[in-house]
Amino acid sequence: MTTPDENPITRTSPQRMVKGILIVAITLAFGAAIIVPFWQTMIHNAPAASTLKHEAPPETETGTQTSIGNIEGVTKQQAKSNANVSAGAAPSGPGTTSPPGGTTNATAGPPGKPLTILAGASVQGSPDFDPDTITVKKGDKITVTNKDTLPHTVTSGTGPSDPNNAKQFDTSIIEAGATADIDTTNINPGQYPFHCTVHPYMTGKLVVQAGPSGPAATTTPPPTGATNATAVPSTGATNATAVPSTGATNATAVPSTGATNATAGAVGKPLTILVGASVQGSPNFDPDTITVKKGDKITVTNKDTLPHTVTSGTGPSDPNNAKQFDTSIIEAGATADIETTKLNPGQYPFFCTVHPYMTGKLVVQ
Amino acid sequence: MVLEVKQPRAMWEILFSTHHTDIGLLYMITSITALMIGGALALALRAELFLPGLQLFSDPTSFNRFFTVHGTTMLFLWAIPFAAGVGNYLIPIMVRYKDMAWPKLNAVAFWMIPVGAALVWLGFSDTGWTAYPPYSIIRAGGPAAEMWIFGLKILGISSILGSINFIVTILKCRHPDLSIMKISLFAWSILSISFMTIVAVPTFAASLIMLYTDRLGISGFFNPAMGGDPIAYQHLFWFTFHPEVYIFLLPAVGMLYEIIPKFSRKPLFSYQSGVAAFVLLALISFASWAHHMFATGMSFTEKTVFMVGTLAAVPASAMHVFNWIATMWGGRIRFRAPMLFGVGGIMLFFASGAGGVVNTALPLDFITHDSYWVVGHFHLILMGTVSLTFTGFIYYLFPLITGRMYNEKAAQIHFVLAFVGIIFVFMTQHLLGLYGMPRRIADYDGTIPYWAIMNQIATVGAWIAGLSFIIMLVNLIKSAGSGKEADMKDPFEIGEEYYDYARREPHH
Repeated sequence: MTTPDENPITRTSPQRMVKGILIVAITLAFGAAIIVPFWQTMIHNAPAASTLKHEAPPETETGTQTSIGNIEGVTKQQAKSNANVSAGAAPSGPGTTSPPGGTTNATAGPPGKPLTILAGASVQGSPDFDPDTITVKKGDKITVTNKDTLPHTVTSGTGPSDPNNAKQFDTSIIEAGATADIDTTNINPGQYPFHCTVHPYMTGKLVVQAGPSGPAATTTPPPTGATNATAVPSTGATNATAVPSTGATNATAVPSTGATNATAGAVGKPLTILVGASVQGSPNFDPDTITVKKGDKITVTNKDTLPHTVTSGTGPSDPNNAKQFDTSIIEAGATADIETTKLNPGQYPFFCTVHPYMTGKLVVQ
Repeated sequence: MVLEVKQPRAMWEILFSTHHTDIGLLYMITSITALMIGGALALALRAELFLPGLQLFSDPTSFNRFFTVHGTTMLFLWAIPFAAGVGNYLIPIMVRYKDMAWPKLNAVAFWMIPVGAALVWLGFSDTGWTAYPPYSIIRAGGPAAEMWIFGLKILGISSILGSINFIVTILKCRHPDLSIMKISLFAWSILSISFMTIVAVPTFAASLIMLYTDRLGISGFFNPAMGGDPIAYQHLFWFTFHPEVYIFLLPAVGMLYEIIPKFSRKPLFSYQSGVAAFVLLALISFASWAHHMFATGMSFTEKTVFMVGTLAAVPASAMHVFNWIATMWGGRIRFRAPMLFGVGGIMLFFASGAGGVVNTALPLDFITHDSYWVVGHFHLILMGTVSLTFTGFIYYLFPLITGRMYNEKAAQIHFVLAFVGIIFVFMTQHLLGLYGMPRRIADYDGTIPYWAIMNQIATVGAWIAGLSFIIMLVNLIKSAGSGKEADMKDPFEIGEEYYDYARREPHH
């Protein structure tokens, strides 16, 4: 602003305008130089919600030392002696709704009696389970196929408010297009209403008839009351160990399952997680392919500075991951054992749930 | 680029100056840059919606990122900094003080803006500019959302610092001869928005911290899984951002009070009613935040209270509009570019205000909620009223800043294209909303009657408006370097003295 007695008016010259534009342009070019080369990394999207796995928080298991057979094994053990079962009985953690009674999520095998979750089942009032009432003989297997586009479950009980829900059987989350099995070996003949925990208005009924049963029928079937008794201390114990996940709590976890910790003294075949394994592309498991005889024990030593796991399966998206074995989190410097007693001879790929690019293979002879 | 303070200086001297005109100019240049970037993002969004299906974007999340950054850029890097820039440039002149009250604080407040802008632009968050939980705390991707949170945090602090500076400058550094009822209405608008900023923004600043700790998982304020309440965030958010709507609007109103009397060549109709309307709007703006949330299941009493609170803003806004109309009535109007943009802005203020009354009426709100009607409505006020008026004021200040004249013909072409384009885009979006098109979708069903054709009209309108702003940019750059030398007494050749706020006897 000028008044007559001030300096004469100064006006912008083209050179100065160019200089000003250059300052803005160079600043923006710096920004572009950062944003353009890293565009793909920055624009990286989280996976769609429908593909999320509902895995248990790994810390709820034992602290540093874990030894795990497959789920089926543990549940059979549970069936044999309830006294032996405590905290360790739920190696899959509470979140995956470990099967207290009948065995669910059995590994892929011959398909059982079909139970289909129809497309559009999530809409209240639509047809949901096909058939609505499924009748099987005790010992039969039921194969649940989720044909809907959303995750569902088949869980015993009349609904979420039923105090006994999920006592008899529970598939836990079945992703869209996936299947799950319900084993009725340990379910007494009778009628069992079931529902979907995600959409409680989806209900059906399972009728188990007495009949030619499998070998498990001769063992004392764990009735509801018995499983109830074991379920409560198991969650209590896992809660107790969840908070301080150090060696001290390990001591409390030790007397859990005989199978897991009885062998803690002897050192098994070594499998080492190398330093720097968490960096993608670095050497991770040593040896990469470990060959053992059935019944051998594998001792996993985490020499890295970060927590890792050794989990069966090809990766987090493998529907059967952690079915055969899973050490859960092994803290830096800690060790864990893998029991191969229950594994059939064969090849089992494994990976680290924390860093899914860390993969290896277990060969059981 | 050259300021009248001294002889031509080195660029770095302007860049690191603490003088209010230099900082005001930096604010304006930054905000015009942001306008261009935000506009480019908007054109990409509109191009995607030209046809059903995904053409430009590989996935809907990228689309989400674009509209998030578009919204954040336009609101926090164009509207607010531009008003702050003009305020910086003019307020000390208007209150006849040598500079802002605290020049260094002023420089700090400006230099926080590029930092915040870098965080927002380099992060490219996908939360939407509202960042509603639970999405923003549970699923929103990677460092982008954190960068957005910190960027907004910095921009919020910047605007609070700027507001404190304005309040002290206007209230305490005025020339002793100048009473508060004699300062210009533009100074009144800046004073109102400064007070509103200081009351409103801390709420959002707090909720940003809560969002961040929720994202870290150490708190669960808004996380239902941890006993939190996502609706609580919406209350905190809108307690800041409904007043913020008026923080965007009032500087434009103040600028219209500069432009309208000047180009009508007639004194302002009523100064007192303008002041009263500013104060009323500043108060009422805090009584209507929940009208953004009618669909979240509030009680009927709450909804009624906020409906009435919202409608209470209508008389105050109308006071401004009638004041302008009464000023223009019987005036000898000269339609130079600033006046064209001003009158265009007033016209669209009517339209968007009428749409706002429809939104706040409870039964109609549920029909229009989260549809393109809402997009059309707030864009009509932000683009149609706020941005058009700001653009007019860019032309109005141009001779004062550069000492040169812009190309009047190009500026008038700019106005016609921008006005037509804006009506094409945003009026059509109102209709799209009534035909049921939801907001924030990257793809739509082309078989639904009229969706495709209305989206295409909107996209063409956006291209026209985008083209018009490119004309403005070229015009400004070219004219600043080699435009006709302006007659500083009367650069618009309207027979009125250009600027009566000469710094005569500045008060030290």
